[in-house]
Amino acid sequence: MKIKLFALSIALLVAIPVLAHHSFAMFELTKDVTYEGTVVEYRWENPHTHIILKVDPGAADPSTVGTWDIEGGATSIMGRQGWTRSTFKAGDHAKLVAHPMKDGVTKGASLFYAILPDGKRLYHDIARPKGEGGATSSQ
Amino acid sequence: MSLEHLWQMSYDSKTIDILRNSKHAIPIIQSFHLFGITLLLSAMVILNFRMLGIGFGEIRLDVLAKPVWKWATAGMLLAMATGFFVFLPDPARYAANKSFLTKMSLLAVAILFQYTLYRRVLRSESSARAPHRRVIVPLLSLFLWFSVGWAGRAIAFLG
Amino acid sequence: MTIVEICHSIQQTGWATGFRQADLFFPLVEGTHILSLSLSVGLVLMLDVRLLGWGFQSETVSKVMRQVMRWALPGFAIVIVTGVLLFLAQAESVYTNSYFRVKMAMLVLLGVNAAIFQFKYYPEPFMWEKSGTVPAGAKAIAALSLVFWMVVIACGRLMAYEL
Repeated sequence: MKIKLFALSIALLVAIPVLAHHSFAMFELTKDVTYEGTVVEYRWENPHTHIILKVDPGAADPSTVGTWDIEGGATSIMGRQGWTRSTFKAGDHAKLVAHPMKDGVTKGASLFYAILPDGKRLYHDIARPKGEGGATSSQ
Repeated sequence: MSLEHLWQMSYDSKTIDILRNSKHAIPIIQSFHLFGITLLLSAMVILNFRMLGIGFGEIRLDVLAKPVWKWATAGMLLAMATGFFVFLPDPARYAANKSFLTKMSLLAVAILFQYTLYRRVLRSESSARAPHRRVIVPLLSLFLWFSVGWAGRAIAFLG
Repeated sequence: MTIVEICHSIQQTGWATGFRQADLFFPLVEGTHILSLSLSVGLVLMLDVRLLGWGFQSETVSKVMRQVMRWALPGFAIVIVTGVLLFLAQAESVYTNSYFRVKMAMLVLLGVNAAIFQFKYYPEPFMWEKSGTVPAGAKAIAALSLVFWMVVIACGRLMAYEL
């Protein structure tokens, strides 16, 4: 009886991704891609801040062309790194370094840092795991 | 060997890469982490509310404690085992997170308290013919375990 | 107006935006939602355990149910209120999220499951309680309850993994 229950729960849990049709938002954490373009929307909110960025054709990296959803962290975490609700607004030019989604199709990326006009880096979080130029990175 | 070297071993490991790069593994492990937490916390609610005299009063403490204590232990072990596998593929991120460090400290205190003083009190009340209403021990237990829970949530929101 | 459009307008209101931008209040509501699972779903577990014959055999099902509901009802109230707040704040993002949809479908199934138990087995608990055996149907309901709740919790966690 217990075994049947256990098997049923595993089966159902495995079925969830199938039922959901979408892929996970898994990001290629070892890949840093620079997205440069115009801010369509700057959503300063919880649980994640989002910067919708439009990269025009003719960009240095052709793989970045299009409209991207670049996801940051929670407001208090980003706030501690210097971000505010008015760091960007629609129409601003922005240069963001982020990790693209693994599936290679969905235009989503996980924010690493923004490069401000004066060249200063605005990181999304204090934690800088591998691939993020942190203490453990060889970069 | 510094901590950084230790973390780097995880990032360099091909075996851990499988876990790290898997689409579903970490979220599923996190779900089981939450099952363990829910099991443990509800066990604490049941036992502590009973000792405080605010709930489950119609059932004798020894009848409650027998299965519920086991749930608490099972939940805790599940949470810890899954927690380890959430930490393992990205140790530097967690080690740099103040809320994570707070959670680990609170967890150590909670486990120590649970398996020494708390268990002794639970046993003596369970076997007493007329168990008295306890206040400090159950409140401390609830406070410690729910604080661990909140610290866990703070990892993503406070850093 | 489509549902998505309605959700969009809700998400754009000043209240919803303010709630999403709140440094402390948003995590407080979300954390309460998750931790109050132990005051609701976790307690229902006790009833499921009794029905499945895995514990509390010395106590009648009615007694266990009564003890559980005393705290599970306010517990569920907390989960639901916080859930509604979280939904309203992110109505469109959440409504279009596949995992959210599966979660809601599961909750409907759980409601049906609970209703069947309430109307089929609970009006006459004294009938089968006296015999000491829990009817197979009631056991099935308890088993499904356990599995469905695990799916609900997992879906809640997985929602964050879809952009």
